[in-house]
Amino acid sequence: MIKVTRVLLRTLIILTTIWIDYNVFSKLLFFNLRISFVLMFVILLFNFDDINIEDWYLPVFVGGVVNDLILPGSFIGTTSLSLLSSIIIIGKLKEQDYFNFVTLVIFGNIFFYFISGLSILLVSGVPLSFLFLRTVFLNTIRLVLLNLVFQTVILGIVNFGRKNA
Amino acid sequence: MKKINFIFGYIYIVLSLFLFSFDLLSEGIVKQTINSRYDISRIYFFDSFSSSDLDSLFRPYSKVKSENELLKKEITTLQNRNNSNIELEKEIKELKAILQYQSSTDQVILITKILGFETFPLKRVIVDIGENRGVSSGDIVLDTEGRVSGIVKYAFPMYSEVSLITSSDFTINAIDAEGNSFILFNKDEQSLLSRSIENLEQDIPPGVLTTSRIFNHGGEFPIARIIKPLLYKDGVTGGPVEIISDVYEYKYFQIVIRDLGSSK
Repeated sequence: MIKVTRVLLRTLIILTTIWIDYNVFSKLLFFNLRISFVLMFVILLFNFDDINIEDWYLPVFVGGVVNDLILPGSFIGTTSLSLLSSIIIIGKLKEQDYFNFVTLVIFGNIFFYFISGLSILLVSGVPLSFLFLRTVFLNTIRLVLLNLVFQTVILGIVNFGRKNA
Repeated sequence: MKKINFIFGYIYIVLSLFLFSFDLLSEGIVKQTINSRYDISRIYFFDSFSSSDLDSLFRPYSKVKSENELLKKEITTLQNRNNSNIELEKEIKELKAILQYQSSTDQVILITKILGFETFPLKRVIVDIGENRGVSSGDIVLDTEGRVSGIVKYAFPMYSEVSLITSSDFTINAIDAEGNSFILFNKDEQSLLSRSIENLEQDIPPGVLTTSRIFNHGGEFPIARIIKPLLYKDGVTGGPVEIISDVYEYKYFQIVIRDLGSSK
């Protein structure tokens, strides 16, 4: 019972995050950065060692499906696929201890936007030529840079009072 | 971090892939059906001000954007429809003018639609009737009000090529009101050069130059306007004359079919 309640609570947190993204962030920012909030949330999860990541797969999956249902341009499963893939990638890289945290965030962002861009291209029926791939790369770089600034600020605020490791 | 932590992640990735391909292969029908039954976006968006003017302030950016896209498409469609209506109106006016003109004349005149203009190297027009309908090279081409716009250069079975009056190679015989015959050459877009065929020994006052039955043009149709008097010099009377017809304004032309039997 407690497990179910926790899953529901986590799903509610994710859905509230998307709600805030739609109703607050998309109005505050010129660029459509609603996904950045979800991704930032995932990064925050990794920052807190006491949170177990496997508990968040289902809520993120549900959140992604809801997000796809609201967004007119994407098919169901696109956001879930990209988000979960980026979580796995970040987790795997973190396990290796090769990279520091900021590099992991950049990797996660790049992977997420590249996968999203490719899936949108595939869905819209555009031929996957080098010309279009170049557009995907350019947009990925732009979004990654913008999100990095945004995420660093949020992470800075959240970790302000924490002790150094 | 344990290996088992990722196993659930992989399961959900596979599930997402399945949903994604299922929705993609069904061309979004799943999503459409769900959205038509439970309008999630309506519940999800903060929409309590929908009836007031404050709505626009609290509406999410993405919603405004998609609404804007829809409106843009609608405007473009309406503009296109309006443009085609204007074109149709113009066509109707032209056809009416042609009918009015044809009821007042006794010549055999055929209506023809312009298929396309050619501007380089020579100014030509392709029209949609040809030899099969009785058109032959040398026939006079008129605009909707009966003014000379060109001459049929080549008549093919299904279409004809017309040399326009504004083309640099345009030449035609003409007569003035008194029956003096002239030969006209193209000078530029707006004018022709006239030159009398016989020795007139006089100036020609302002008036109109027309085609003539003498040259088997099939009738008398206005070609050019004499603005300044044509001066007599060295045995020749001539000078520039102004083209009357505005050839690029029309979608339809008329072709005067000559009575070839009587000319033989």
